[in-house]
This record gives sequence, C-alpha cells and structure tokens, in this order.
Amino acid sequence: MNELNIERCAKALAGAQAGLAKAERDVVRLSAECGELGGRLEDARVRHANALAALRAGDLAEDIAAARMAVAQADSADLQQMIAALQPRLDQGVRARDHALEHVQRASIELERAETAIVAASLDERIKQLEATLCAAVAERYSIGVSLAPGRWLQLSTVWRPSDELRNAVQNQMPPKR
Amino acid sequence: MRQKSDVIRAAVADAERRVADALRTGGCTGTARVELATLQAELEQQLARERADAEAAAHDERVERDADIRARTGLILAESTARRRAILERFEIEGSDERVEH
Repeated sequence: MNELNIERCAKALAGAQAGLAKAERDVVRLSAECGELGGRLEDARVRHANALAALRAGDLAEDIAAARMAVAQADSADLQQMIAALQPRLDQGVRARDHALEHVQRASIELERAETAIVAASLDERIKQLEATLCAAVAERYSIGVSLAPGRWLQLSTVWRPSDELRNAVQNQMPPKR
Repeated sequence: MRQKSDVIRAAVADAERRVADALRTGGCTGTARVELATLQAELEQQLARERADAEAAAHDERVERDADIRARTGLILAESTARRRAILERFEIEGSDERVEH
C-alpha cells in the first residue's frame, strides 16, 4: 500500500461517485417523466368523468359528450401504454442507481483501507524510533546511575521503572489507552 | 426520438413504392427514379451528419465526465491527505507532510 494506491483508490471512488451522480440524475428524470405522464393520465380520466357527469346531468349533448369521452379514453389508453413502456426503464434506472451506490461504498472502503495501511506503516516506523530513543535514554540513565555509585551493582529498576501502562502493554498484551 | 433521417427514410420508401408502381403499371419511372436517387443521397448525408453529431456529443460527454472525475479525485485526495495528516501530526511523525503530499 502506498501513495500510488491511494491515488488509484481515489480515482476509482471519483469514477464511482460520478457514475452514481449520473444514475441519480437518470432516475430523477425518468421519475419526473413518469409523474408527468401519470398527471396527464389523471387529467384524461377526469375529462372522461366530467363528460360522463355532464351527459348524465343533461348539460352536454350525447354526441358531444360521447366525442369527449372517446377522446379522453383514447388519451388514457395511449398514456397508459407510454407509462407501461417507461416503467421498465425506470426500474432499470433504480437498479442501476442501487448498483452505483454499492460501487461507491466499495470504493470508499478500499480508499479507507489504503489510507489506514499508510498510517499504520508510518506509526510502526514511529514506534520503532520512539522505542529506540527510550532504550537509548534508559541506557544512558543507567550509565549515569552506575557512575554515581561506583563499585556497586546497580539494579535497573533503581533508576528506571516502566509505567504501569507500558508494563501492561509489554507483559500482558493490554493496549494502552488512546 | 424521431430524427430527420427517419423522415427522409420514410420519403425514400415512398419514392421506392412509386418507382415500383410505375414499373408495374408500365408508366414512366424517370421522375420517380430521379426523386429516389436525390432522397437516397440526402439520406446518406443526413445519416453522416447524425453520426458526426452523435460522436461529437459522446466526445463532449466523455470530456465532461473526465473533468468531473478529475475534480472529484482532487477533492477526495485532499480530504484523504487531511485525514492522514491529522493522525500523523499527533505523533510528530517526521515528514508527515511529505508522506501525505501528492
């Protein structure tokens, strides 16, 4: 895992996001188209119902009412056909959007993994440096202790004792608090 | 969507029918044949134009998409850099700036 990998993951995520944006736009467009046709269908049904009501109430002549109803019915049939033809495209669009969303989620996870791998490698390196510095400082301190009490054996714990947190980490595999 | 080539194609079919009718009835096919040839040439030109338009539109779409992806990639990388830097700087990791630079 390295910077190139991060860049590759970022490009993949960007492509997935662009794909999702397009899929969402397509769904919005198709939904709007479906909604508009649905509205016109409703309007045609209302026109049919109104013509029938007017005929029953005697407000319209039979031939005029029949013509209006026939037109409204023909419009309804055409619109239903158009909606039926559009529905599979809308369903397909919704599926494509869901798929694109999954793609974005997968790409995000990949990027996160690549990022984490780089951070982990940097921290590993830093821990090694700090450990080396700690050991060097303890060795120096021990040497000073020895020089202060010449001719005597000096126990390391006299000059340095690891903190409980460090001891627990080393001896008991207990991770220190963050 | 109905394109102009569809209209011309319908006219070509109509002209073809007229030539066939003239042949069947023993009439003169000259005018119909001239008209048919003109329409066929027009159809070819129109189809070429529509192909060129479609290619140009596809090219524009690709360019737009590439620019969109480049912009998104830049943003994602900047966010990623900031996230990693925030962690690495807490531990004063040497070269954390360079490490996360692109």
